[in-house]
Parts: sequence; C-alpha cells; structure tokens
Amino acid sequence: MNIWDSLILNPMINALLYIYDFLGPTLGLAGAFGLAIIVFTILIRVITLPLTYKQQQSTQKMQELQKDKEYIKIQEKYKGDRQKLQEEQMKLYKKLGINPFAGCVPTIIQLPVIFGLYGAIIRSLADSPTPLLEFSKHIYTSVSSTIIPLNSQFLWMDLGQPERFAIPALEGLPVVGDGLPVLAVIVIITSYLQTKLTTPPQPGAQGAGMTQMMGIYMPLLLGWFAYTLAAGLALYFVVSNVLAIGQALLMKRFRSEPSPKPKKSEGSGRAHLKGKSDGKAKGKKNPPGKQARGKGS
Amino acid sequence: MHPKLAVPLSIVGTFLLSACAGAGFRTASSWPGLSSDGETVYLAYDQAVYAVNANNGDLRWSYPEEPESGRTFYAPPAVSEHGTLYVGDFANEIVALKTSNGAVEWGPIQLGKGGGRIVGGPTVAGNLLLVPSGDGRLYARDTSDGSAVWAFPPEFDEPLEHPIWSAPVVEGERVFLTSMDHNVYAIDLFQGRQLWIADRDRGGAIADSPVLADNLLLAGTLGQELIALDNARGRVAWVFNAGDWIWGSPVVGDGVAYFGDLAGQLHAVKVSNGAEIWNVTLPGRISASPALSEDRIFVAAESGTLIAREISTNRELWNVPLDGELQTDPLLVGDAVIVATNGGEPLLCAFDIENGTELWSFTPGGSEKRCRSS
Repeated sequence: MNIWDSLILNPMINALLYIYDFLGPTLGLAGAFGLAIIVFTILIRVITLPLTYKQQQSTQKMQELQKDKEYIKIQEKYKGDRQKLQEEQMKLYKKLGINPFAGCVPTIIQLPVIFGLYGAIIRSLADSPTPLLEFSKHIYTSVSSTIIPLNSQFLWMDLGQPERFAIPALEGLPVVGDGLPVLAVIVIITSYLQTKLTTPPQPGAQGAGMTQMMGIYMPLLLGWFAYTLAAGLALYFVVSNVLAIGQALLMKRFRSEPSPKPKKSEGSGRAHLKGKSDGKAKGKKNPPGKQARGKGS
Repeated sequence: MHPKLAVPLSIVGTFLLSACAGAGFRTASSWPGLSSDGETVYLAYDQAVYAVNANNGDLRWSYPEEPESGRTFYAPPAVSEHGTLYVGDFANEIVALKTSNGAVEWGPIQLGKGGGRIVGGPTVAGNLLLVPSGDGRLYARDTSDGSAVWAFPPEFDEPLEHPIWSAPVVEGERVFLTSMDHNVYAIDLFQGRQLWIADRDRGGAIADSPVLADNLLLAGTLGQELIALDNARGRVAWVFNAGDWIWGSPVVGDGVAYFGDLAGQLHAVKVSNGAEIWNVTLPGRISASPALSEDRIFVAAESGTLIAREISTNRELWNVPLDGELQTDPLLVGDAVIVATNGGEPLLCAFDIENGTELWSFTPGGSEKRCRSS
C-alpha cells in the first residue's frame, strides 16, 4: 500500500462508504451515493474552511490593493521597468502584510482532494469483477461489507458514468442523442461565477488578460472534466462551487457591513485592507492612502 | 486562485485527471474464463476465445478471426454435448460456435437492451441456454437458434437491482441463481417463474455460483459468510462466518465444503452443520474456487501461486509460482490441473496433478516462456 493510498485515497473511500452506509442501508434514503458525495463535499469544505477563508481574504486584499494610491503610483512610475516594478510591489506587499501567493495554498491543497475523490468515486462504483476485487483492498475492516456493491444511481445519473440527461425527443441526433450534459453546463456556470468571485484582478494589461483567460479557461476545463468523467466528480464540482460561491458572497457581505460610509469608498486607498494589513498600516507614520482609512469597499 | 499559478496547476490537473481516467480505473474487466469438454480447453480472454488442445496446449482455433473493437470475452464458455460452444461477451451478446472449428452457428445475439455484460458463464440445460447478465436478468434462449424463451425478471419488469455475475445451477426443473443483489433465487426452468427467494436478512452480495450438496445450496458471500439454504424453500440451514469476502464457490467432497476467502484462508466446513474442520492460511488472497481430485485440493492464490494440498494430512504437496495473478478457477482435465493467468505469461499452464511438473503452456501468438516464475 503506497502513501497516496494510505493517506488520501483510502480515508476518502472509507469516509464515503461510512456516509453511504448511514444514508442508504441505515436511513433508507434513495440515491445514497450521490448524497454521500454531497455530504462528503460539505465536510471537505468545512475542514478546509480556514484555508479557503484565508484564500478569500487574500483575494479581497489583492482586490482592494488595486485601488491603493501608492500601488497605482508604483505601477505608473515603473511601467517600463518590470524588474523594478516587481521589487517595489513586493516591498509594498511586505509593508502591508500581504502574501500574494497566500491564495494559492488552499488551491494546491484542494488538488489532492479532487484527485483523491475522483479515484474514490471511480473505485467505489466498480462494476465488473476485476475493479471490485481491486476495490476490496482499499476497504477498512470496520466498513460493513454488506453494503457492497454500491448503488450508483442518483436522480437521473449513474454516478460512475459521464452524466447525460436523456430526452426522448433528441434520441438519434448527433452529439445530444445520448442526452444533454446538464451537470457539465452547471459546472461551467458555477465555476465561472466562483472564479469571478475569488480571482483577484491583476494589474496591467498582461495581468488583466491572464485573469480574463482564467475566467474562461478554468470553467471550460472543469466543464470538460464533468462532460467526460464520472458524474460523481461533476456532482462534487457543482456542490463545491456552490459552497465556494456562497462562502465568497458571505465574506463579501461580512467585510462590507461594518463599513460606516460605504458610498465614499470609490477610489479610496489602502484603508480597504483589513486584518493584518490594517494593523501594519496604522503603525506607519504616514502610510500612503491613509486618508481613505475607514471607508468601506 | 492566483492566476499565475492557476494556469500551470490546471494544466497539471488536466494531465493527471486525464491520466487517471485513461488508466482504466473504470475499465470493465475480469479474468480469463475457462472450461473444457475433456479434449479441448476453451479460454475466453480479452478480445478472443481460444480452443486449445488439452493434451499438448496446441491452438486449435480462435474466435473471432480479427479482434473487434469493444468486444471482450471473460465468461467461461459453456460446451454442449452436441458440439456447440456458447460464449458470452462484455457487450451483452451471446454467440454459438462449433467446437470442431470455431465456425459461428448463430449469433452474436444482443441480450436485453444493451448496457449489460456477461461475466458468469452460460449454462446449458437441455435445449435451453441460460445466460446470466450484468444487466440484472437471466436470459433463457433456445440452444438451436438463440431465440428468446423467457427472462428472469421478465423484460417488461424491472431487472434485479445489481448485476448477475454467476452461472446458474440447474437441478431437475429448477434453476438456482445467485446475484450481486445479495439474493438467491429458485426459478422454474421452463417458464422462468420465481419459485422462491432465499429467506434471509440482507447479507453480502454473491459473486459466484451456488453449489448443490445434500439438498442444501451453498454460496459464499462478500459479507464474509458461507450460507447453506434448504434447496426446497430457500430457508437458511446454517451460516459460517469467514474472516473476509468469499468470492469463489465452494467445492464439495465427502460431505465437506472447501473454499477460500480474501484473507487467504482455505476453509474446510462440514456440509451437514457448517462446523469448521480445519483452516489454513495460504500466501495471498483466494478469489477462485478450489478444484478437488480425490484426496487433493488445488488452490489458486491471487498472488500467482498454484498450490496442491493433501486433504487427509492437511499438508502441502507442491506449489508453483506463476507470472500474473490467479483468479480463474483451476480446471482438472485428466491428470492435469490447468490454470489461466491474469496479466501474466504464459496465459494457460497445465501441470501434472501428482507432482506439479509443467506439462504444457499456451500463449496467444506463441512464447518460449516457462510457466514457473523464478
């Protein structure tokens, strides 16, 4: 048994099995594996909440930074000298207590979750002898073996197969004859919204272009995964995206509510930067953008 | 996500997930299906069915002439006394071939609406061919032309909740069927009506065929149990708890049932009351049914070792390590025990049951490789 299996894959498989056992055989709910994926995704979201909170905090700080006068000044001043511009930006980040890469860590942590979950779903829904025998090697002895094989049906989907919503009227037509990829479309839409809400705008034409590309590329990529891979993974993407969108919106509201004069916030500066950066900025003798302190975003 | 990192991460992600998908985690597959009429060994594996001389391992014929995309064979073929071989594939089709030369007698015929696959071998009962399908139905077809006779459950009804992976067993006018839906059924041979369903709490799924012994029906379950049912009504006579999943069917000799489990234990249990006589731990999981020849039992361990043991003394006689995994039930033909390897080479190996000496081997396309792995 390798490290990946022991630390990531097996705990995920068995967590799914425990949840499935509780929801299906114990409570008698239909579509228990789909529900297990939803519950599992919520659990993963809760466990990684401190990280995603930090990521979104960092994103918001980066967004607010775009309006900072000193930041804008640096951009203009070193427009022609990229290396100097980066140096100055880094100095400013340091001064304000911003880690521009803080938002990446949660994403990196989520990658093994996605890969692990995909492996767990695919293995759990083994539908022929060899994969089922292979799957048996991953199951903890404490899991009831009477739940095997799992029922892969959830709503109109077979969670182990790419999702298609069959419409009899479309039968026989090219591309959509097998049904419409409803979940893949939802994945694209929710991924787009999530990327929009959580990706900070980048300075300069290059950065803005990259952000724009990300806003299109990521949803399409995840949509492609949802279109071609197991529906269980697409379900995970949808639930995860919806939760992330909800979390981002809540955080936005939470951060904007305490602001006493939100209308005057247009064009304001570093005062938007909260938490650690606020503290640091307050300690400075004459920090740039000081005049905007207290104005919400 | 920081855009600068998101692009390379998503490229890596695309690559990894695509690799995962392409790695065949969900590729439907099984192990070689093996059967024999005493003179020829029939092997269904991957994209072909091979007829191999049981005396020397020479290839007699293979089917189809050219591999067909999307058509794979793993179910043990059924041989009729009239010289016809019935082969099921993973496209849920059945075909009848002449045992003499592999020529098609009829078929391939699609069973049901498609989507299933034939994992357990068909069973011939008079002029009926009983084909278990992964689509959750048992199909009865006319052996002469493959025409439909009945299906269980009937095709206008819902199929079983999970696939059927085991060959049905016929006694008189009754068909006994086990299923991955955790149930055991008795069905009327001529009409396909359900006679009874095993009267037991939801136990484990049943992957292999039941075995009849002394009016009892024995079946191993993935719920770690060997169950014995009264074959008249399906009531539980006794239950034996093993340490792990029981995948293969038991074999019965002199009132004793022998079977292995995935913990690698070989059990000997009294058929009359389910009391364990002995057990022995072998190297590797056991998913195949053992083979019995008088005082000898042959066990294929998944790790790739074929083991011969003497029952009366409960000691090992010989063992042969092979290349590849062993999940196919060993087959006794004359004085040879024949095994098919999964993912190894040679594909078929025949050993002298007395001493484990290699008699012959078979690899599609030919190979000089010996069976015994170093």
